[in-house]
Amino acid sequence: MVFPVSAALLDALVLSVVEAEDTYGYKITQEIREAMEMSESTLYPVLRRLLKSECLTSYDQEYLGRNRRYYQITEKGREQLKIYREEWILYKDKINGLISGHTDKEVNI
Amino acid sequence: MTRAEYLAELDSHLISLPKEERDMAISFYEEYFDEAGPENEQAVIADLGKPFALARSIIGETSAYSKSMVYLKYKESKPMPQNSTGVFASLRKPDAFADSNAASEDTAEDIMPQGSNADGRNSEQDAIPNGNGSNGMFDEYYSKGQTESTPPPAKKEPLGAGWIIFWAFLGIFIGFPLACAVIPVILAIIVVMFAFGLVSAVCLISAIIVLISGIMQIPSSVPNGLGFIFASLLVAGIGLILLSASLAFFFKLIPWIVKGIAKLFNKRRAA
Repeated sequence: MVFPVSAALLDALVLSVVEAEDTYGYKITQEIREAMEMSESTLYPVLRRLLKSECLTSYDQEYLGRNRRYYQITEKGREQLKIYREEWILYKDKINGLISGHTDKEVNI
Repeated sequence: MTRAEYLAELDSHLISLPKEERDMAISFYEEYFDEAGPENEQAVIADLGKPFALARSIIGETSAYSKSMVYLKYKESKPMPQNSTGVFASLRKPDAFADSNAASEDTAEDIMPQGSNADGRNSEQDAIPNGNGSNGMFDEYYSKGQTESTPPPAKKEPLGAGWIIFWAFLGIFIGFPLACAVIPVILAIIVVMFAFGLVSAVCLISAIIVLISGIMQIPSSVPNGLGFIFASLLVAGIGLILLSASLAFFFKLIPWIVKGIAKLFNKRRAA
């Protein structure tokens, strides 16, 4: 992707994915990758940050004889996600307005 | 590189983290490899990048104050961390985030600076790994920068006796003669530059004297007077060139060199 992704956007994406259902690291990466390019090295730091700030909790579950760590959103995480969503709408509208503004005007004429 | 080798190398680069943090990171990537399956092992390794770069991004995240949590911390009106006052200073409305539905131009603008820089100290380290992990171009730049600018952390093994002797020999047979040759040259340059200063002063004073005598001679002999004035200007010009060379040497070049050396030492200490 040509546009750099900020830490806040990554937080928002991970929180959104985990909010939908409790899930594990590999799957989170795959889901985000459906929307954009993301290196496999990106996720862990984001998860650590969200765990540390108590936006996520984790629990272990056995799967095929090995451990799988699931992540779950907390109340604080939901609150944070709500803020991100509001922020995102603001940001998206502003950027849209700037980037596609000229063509809109031409269409209007 | 196999998965085991990769993880071992990653672990060695995470040595500065507490044991618990390190184990968490390693087990996360163990699990990741498991999920990806053995057939994707090499693809995962390629995508994760150099263990050293990955370790940097992990260390950056685990130790740095999280910027992206600024919103929430702010909303809860917890005491703000000292090093991010800049961000908060730019937030004029206390409820900018709570009622962002009523988004005025004003709040949106206030929010923007958050993304750019929260705390000066960690921002660089912080932004590189997570913000641009997805950006291939940047990844390349990042890993390149690493290999060139920062040497891998030195292992903390005590120096073997052989090495000590080697360095001592190097010091005696190369360092000492080198110092003997270089130090007098440096001293000579300093003396010459100092002499330049003195000579320039002499030049300027004599130029003034010659100029005055030239002016005084004009009534008796115009060609003589003009000649003296011309000579005085010439000498003054030479004096000014020498003076500027000497001033530039003592007040620009030397402080610059001293700063450069100090920087070099600081970098070494940091690395």
